[in-house]
Amino acid sequence: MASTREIRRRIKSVANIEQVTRAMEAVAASRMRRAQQMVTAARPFSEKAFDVLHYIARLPVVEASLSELMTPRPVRKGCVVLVSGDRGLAGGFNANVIRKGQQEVAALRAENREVCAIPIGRKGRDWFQRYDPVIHAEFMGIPDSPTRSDIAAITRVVIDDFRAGAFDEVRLVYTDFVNTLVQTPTVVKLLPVEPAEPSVPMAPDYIFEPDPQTVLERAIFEFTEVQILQAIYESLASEHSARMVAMRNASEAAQELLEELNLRFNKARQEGITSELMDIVGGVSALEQAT
Amino acid sequence: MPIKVEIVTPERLLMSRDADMVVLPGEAGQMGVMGGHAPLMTTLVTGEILLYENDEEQEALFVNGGIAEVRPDVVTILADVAERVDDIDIQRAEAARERAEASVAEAGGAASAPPVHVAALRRSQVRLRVARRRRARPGMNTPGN
Repeated sequence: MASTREIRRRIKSVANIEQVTRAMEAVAASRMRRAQQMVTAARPFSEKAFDVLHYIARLPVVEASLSELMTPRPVRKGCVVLVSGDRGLAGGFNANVIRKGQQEVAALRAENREVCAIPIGRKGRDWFQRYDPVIHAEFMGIPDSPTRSDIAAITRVVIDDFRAGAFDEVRLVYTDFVNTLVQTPTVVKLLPVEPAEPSVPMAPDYIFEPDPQTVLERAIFEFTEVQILQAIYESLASEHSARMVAMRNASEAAQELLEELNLRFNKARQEGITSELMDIVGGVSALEQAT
Repeated sequence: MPIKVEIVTPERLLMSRDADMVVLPGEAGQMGVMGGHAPLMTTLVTGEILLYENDEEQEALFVNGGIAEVRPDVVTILADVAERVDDIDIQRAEAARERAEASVAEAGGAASAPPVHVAALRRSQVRLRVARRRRARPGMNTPGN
């Protein structure tokens, strides 16, 4: 049986851990809410950019001279952009999205394609560096509420290097925030942009200034950028909710452990008292017999 | 005939309101758009967006590039960066301009400096001009007036 002192020490440390996990849970919960708001706030822009882009892409005048960002070409090398977190202690969040990225890399290799990776977030970067060093560029320390200017460099690298032929296809792997309990690692094809039907009917005839080509290039750029930004928002919301759930579990486990330890402590204390009493009683009767 | 003006940035929907006329810094030059305009799309350059109502300037914004889609009843502006004049911090904008000026001067003038620096300089100058112009006018609903 552990001594009461030892048990008391464990109780103290478990109680401290519980305090920390509770605090982390509360912080994650508020950050999650903010990240969710950002996801919603970014939606109008991406929808609009999507509509403009696909409308122009379908115009007969541009069809012949589509942007190279929209033209599929033989894929010699694929690029995987992996959005992970900078920090751990978020349950399976990082492991899940990294596994998804790994699968994408494997799928590209299975088709005999070269692969490169652009990790966004420290955890993904560390994984690639250790097990599969094909890093083309890395981005870490994304702030907690990133804006367009925080990710401008990422967009630049992705678009410019795609143009320059460093890779012929870009896949974006991130964690889609479904709800607090469910986050799904997701893959979207970022480049080349595939033309699709605009979601709302647009006016039949537009005047373009200076010309459709320029507006299209711009729209593709904006759309790609906002897609990356949204992936990061989704990922942040997922990370914080995963951390919140993980920390809640940890707090609950700590509480259970505390109860168990308290019981053991009380038992040990009682046993101590009992044996002390026995000693006294024994001592008294020994004295009585002696007289 | 009023026209609805929506300004969205990647981060959020910045503004959605009606105006009699909106002035945009189009790539082919400044343009004023009123209700009933023919459908039009244009890229935007660094400059200012002005909203007019009853022949009075109601709102001024700094914008740094983007796309505008004009329809008869609504103008949608997808802006990379957009700031309401009241949100511009003049001191910070001034500091940014000085930095940009220094980096351009260091490279030996606008002709030989890297395009990013020249663009940064122009951006900071326009932002300041937009902010100052608005503040200089009394009677406008700027905070502190």
